[in-house]
Amino acid sequence: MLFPSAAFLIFAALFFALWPIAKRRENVRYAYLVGASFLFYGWWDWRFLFLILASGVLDFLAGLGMRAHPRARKAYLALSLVGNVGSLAAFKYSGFLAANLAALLEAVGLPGSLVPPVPRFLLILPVGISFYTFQSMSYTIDIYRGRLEPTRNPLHFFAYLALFPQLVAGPIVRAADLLPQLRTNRRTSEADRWLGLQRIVHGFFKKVVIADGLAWYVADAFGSLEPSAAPIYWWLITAAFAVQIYCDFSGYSDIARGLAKWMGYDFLENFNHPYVSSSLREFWTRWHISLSTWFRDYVYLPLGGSRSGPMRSAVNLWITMLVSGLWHGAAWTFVAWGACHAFFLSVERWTRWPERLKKIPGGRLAATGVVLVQVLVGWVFFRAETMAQATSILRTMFSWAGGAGSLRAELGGTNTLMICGLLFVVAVREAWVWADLDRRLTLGPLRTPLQAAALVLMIVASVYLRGPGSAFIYFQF
Amino acid sequence: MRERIVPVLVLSGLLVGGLGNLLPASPDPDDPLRTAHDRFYLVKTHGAVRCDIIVVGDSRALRGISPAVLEEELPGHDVFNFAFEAGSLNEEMYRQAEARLAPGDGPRAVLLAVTPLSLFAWKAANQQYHEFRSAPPDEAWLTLHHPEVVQYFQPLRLRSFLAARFRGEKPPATVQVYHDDGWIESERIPPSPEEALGLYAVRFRDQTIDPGLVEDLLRWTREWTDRGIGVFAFRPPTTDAVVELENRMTGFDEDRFAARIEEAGGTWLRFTNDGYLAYDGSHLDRASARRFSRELGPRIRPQL
Repeated sequence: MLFPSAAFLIFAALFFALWPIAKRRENVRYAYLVGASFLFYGWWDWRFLFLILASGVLDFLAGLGMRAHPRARKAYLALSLVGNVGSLAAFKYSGFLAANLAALLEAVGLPGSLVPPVPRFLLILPVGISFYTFQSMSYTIDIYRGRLEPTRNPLHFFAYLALFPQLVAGPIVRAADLLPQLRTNRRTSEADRWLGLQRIVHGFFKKVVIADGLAWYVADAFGSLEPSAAPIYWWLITAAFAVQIYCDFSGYSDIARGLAKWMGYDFLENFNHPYVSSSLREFWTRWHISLSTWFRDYVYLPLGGSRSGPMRSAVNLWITMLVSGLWHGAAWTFVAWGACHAFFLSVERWTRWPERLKKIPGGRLAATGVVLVQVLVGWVFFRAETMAQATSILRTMFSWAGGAGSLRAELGGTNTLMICGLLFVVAVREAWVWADLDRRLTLGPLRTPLQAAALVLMIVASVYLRGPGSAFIYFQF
Repeated sequence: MRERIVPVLVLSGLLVGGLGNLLPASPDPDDPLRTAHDRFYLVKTHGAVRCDIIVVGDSRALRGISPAVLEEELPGHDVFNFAFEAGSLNEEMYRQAEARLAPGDGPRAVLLAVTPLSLFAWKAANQQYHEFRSAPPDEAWLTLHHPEVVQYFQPLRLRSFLAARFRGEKPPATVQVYHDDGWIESERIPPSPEEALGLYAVRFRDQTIDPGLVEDLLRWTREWTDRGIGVFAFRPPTTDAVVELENRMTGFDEDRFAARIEEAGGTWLRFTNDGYLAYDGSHLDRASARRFSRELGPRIRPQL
């Protein structure tokens, strides 16, 4: 079920109408959450409910096994990891692996495609598989590490794993954070509900007005048979994609956090204005926080983190970023995106350029600009259809030919105005945060009426200024 | 703390409800019939279509063949146009077309509108078919059964609105009437007969006809004719310039293709481009589409 759909509006209205009654009794609450979440997920394709059930049952039993047989906990953990990584490999990477293996065999003189033998159903990517498998794995890993007590009730486990607001695109919630919240009948105050409404409305506005409004221009540019040769065109399109993916994904997170707030639960912030970062390291503390902390805690630190010297630390960083790239998609362009970030992060570590730059007047602004350019370069790999397209676009971007005139010729005046207008809306908000105006400006008694007016405008805009609809980008991951 | 949520939701509801009345009836000047367009394709992908003659092909068939006119020429037959924009001739489309043929022993036929573009490998993805086939079920249901509700909440397309109102960027007016039998009645005012050539010159670059798709087409022709389903294949009329470009750039050899269809048990029908108007250089305008359908009917009638 998509958030911006009539079905979800009806689903949410019914869910929250009955929630105050359902949440009073513990067993009813868990059953209600699991039932509603399965309905939400099964609306897309009920057959894949069996996959989430199988994955969940495996981890639920592995958790109990670790508790009952501490000496065999390594075996139970291995079982859980093999199951989860195996299901990801089968559904997400089998086509990619088969195609690359076939190419490799052909290169060594053994031609033959391996793609047809991959069963057809494995080429369908179940929505949210990367999110819920990671969430499920964190449960068993935390039990293995002795940081979490396994739950004995499968309803409790599935309420954690499949909770509908975050099931298909995060944030990736840790069991240690969510299971205790689910245990109690949490009351919501008017302030909670108001905050929840703000998050939901902001999320919808970001998704359907900004992200969907930009989606067409980005898709048209990257799908063009005759790509533009004007550098400024590609800078603008890449900036548009940067804003599209940010508003698309953070919009989803905002809606998820708002819905959770209405239910009485708190999900951690998943995006904290990443484009105001003045170092790439800071960017990764603000972008997709639940995933970057997942990789930090379950990949980077177990590899040794930065404890074993700069060389080993750099290797660990590269491994983590490459795996993170592959997590996003089964294509070399995603791996290149991870490598691109690993490279920029390595340079940043060795040279400490952001700290040095920030010491001079205007240095923070300049550092933010440099980080933005690095991030945009990364997004080219992320969005490109092929490696060849990515390198061609980057060559154009850094060729310094053409100018504003060619932008007008490539896009037309109205399209340029539309893209710049949508980027401007986001830029104003980010500049506001960058200048810390939320804290500096005290609006006093005007605060609530202004907030209310902004919400009304955003709701109306989300209905009548919504862009051509498309699913959330992160659904495909 | 005073309740703030209810006033915000009530005011928003009133504004959303009211604005639906105030906004222009066609909030997207570039695509005033968005809802009709979506409903049209959802009928193809979700509708309970049953016919005994079905048309398969790409946009040239989609806009160039009127089932209603064919039915006038073929009394007693139900005809449906199952063509798509950038449609492909491939296994999935054949399966889907067959599923829409009425069961029974009565005369049934598949009309294959063959263009080189419909036999390119990259088109086998059936993108438009899947776009609508995978539409969320609630949206599909609402658009099919209550298009007026969807139309009421159609968003204002700012880009085309601004372009039309303030910058005078007005594309040539295209008249499109969406018929429930699967035909898009089309006309461009004024016609731009050179438009398609430039576009195709880019699309055909480094593209050739996929031999696998041709083999599939021949296999399905054999299977259908063996089971008593007539197969009539033809190249829909267009302009001589486009035909020349297609043949030159894609290597399409109509004589050889026709012979192979005939060998497989199908019937190849030849049409000239004389007297037809392709409003953009490729697709027939509505008068020509009606004329072509009227010409097509009698050619297949004796063999049904």
